[in-house]
Amino acid sequence: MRRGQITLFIILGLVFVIIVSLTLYLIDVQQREQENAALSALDRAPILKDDCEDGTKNGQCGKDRPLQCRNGVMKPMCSDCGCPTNELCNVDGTCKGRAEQAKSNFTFYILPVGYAPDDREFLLRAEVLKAGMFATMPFTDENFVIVENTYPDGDCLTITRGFDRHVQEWLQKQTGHGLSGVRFEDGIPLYSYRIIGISEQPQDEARCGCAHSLMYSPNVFVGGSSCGFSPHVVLHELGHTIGLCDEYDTCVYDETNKYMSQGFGHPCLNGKPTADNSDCTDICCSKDAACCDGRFADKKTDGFFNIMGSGDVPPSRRLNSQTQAVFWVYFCGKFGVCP
Amino acid sequence: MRRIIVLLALILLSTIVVAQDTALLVDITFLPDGSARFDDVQATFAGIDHESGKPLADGIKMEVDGTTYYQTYVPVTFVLMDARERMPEMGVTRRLPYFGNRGGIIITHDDKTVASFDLAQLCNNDGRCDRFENGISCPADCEIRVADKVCLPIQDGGCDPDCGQGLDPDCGKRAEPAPLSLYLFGVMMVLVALYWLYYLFWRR
Repeated sequence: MRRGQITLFIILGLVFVIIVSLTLYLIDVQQREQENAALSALDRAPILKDDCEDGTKNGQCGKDRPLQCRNGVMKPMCSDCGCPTNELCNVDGTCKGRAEQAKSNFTFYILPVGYAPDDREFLLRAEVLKAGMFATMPFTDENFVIVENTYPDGDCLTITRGFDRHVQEWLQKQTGHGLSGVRFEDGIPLYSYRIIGISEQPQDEARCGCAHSLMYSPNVFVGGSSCGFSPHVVLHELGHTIGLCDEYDTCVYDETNKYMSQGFGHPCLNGKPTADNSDCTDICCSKDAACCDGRFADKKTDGFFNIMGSGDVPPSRRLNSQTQAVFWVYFCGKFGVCP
Repeated sequence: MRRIIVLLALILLSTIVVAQDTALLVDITFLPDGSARFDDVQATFAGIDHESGKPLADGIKMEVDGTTYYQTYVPVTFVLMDARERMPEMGVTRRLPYFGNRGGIIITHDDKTVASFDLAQLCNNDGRCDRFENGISCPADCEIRVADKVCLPIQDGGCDPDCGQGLDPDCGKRAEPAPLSLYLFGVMMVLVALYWLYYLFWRR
């Protein structure tokens, strides 16, 4: 055979192979689609409705809670029929005794607010935040979870209200479990998690600050302004969620201390900034800004200020010994995050 | 790679988050004038908030036939730390124990009822999966195959669209066609075999 004939033969052969393969493949795709359609139809099959042998009508609750007649069979259905006293309705319809909340480990859920979960800036900020935590307490990577579901940006003052539900729904979808419940010690709520929402939106600092939180709340909001990128700002907010008050204004401290005593039955866990232990005097802020850097960590000569002071850098910030002790009592003592 | 790490972290987390029950996820808004409103109430799978015995101005009670079986308190301050303004309202999410759709939830301020929620709203048996209903509180209206934001990862004969990948045992692998490359390889092998047979019997 001539070379041209051989080449033609090879080309025709390849075309033949491709055509036959494609045909077989398309036939297979069609068959699978038909099978899937049949499967879906089977999923939607109508349910036969029958009464039960003991005379309970279909859909009605039986004498023994939580049993309900469903298509001729008595099945536990506590959502409809309720449970005996002091028993909880379980997810599979049965009832069980009230489970004690276990003392679990501690988890930080880092929530992208406005950011896409794979946004480079968001992930970088999350890493900086984690590094700040690692330097403070013996947390490991296992204590941190990036929430892969964006929370919509919004008004900085009310944005934290939906963090809990947002993370609950995402977590429940991914694991089947939700967030842990809160337990109380002498009226103090102890959440075994924190949701740290990191926003991409540079908000009005005079109105919203760099970041904010509520005392003993599980939610922390970190804004998109440049000061929100500092790890010590997140530690400052974390301090609020474990009972530490602001140290950048003596009047703000006094006000917080008052409602802490009224609301939780104990004062701030850190001391008041004074002329001796801080660069503050007995002044009140008259502007929308911090009055002073706050308390020293731990001496004036150290060159460091405590993280519960203002967000300004410089001066350098770290946890002073009192704040460090509060962190240890909370995370190690309450949640077992110990070395 | 990052997805794998997240998945591993979540699997680890699911072993840590223990002793969870069916809870009522309750969103409440408190206002400075002492009033409050329910924003949402849904049965879900989560840890339950323990009761707080220390009395505060704002409280949550759960009652059936006038008998209180759960009571807790909520510190409401409207003071957002480090923000320069007070919050116009305060939203909280609580996880209350779920005992079924009987009774109600009551919010109190200084021992006066300021808002109430009838738990019968969690299931009205009208054949539609309505606002407060889902597969836990109202399986009659919200079939397992209906998306209702709550994943029931149990073997119940239906694939729950609210569950993440690999969580619901009923969500088996759907029939997937074999890759095209497999067919190409198969046909080429057949051709090689035919040519070999041709060479073996014909050319000789």
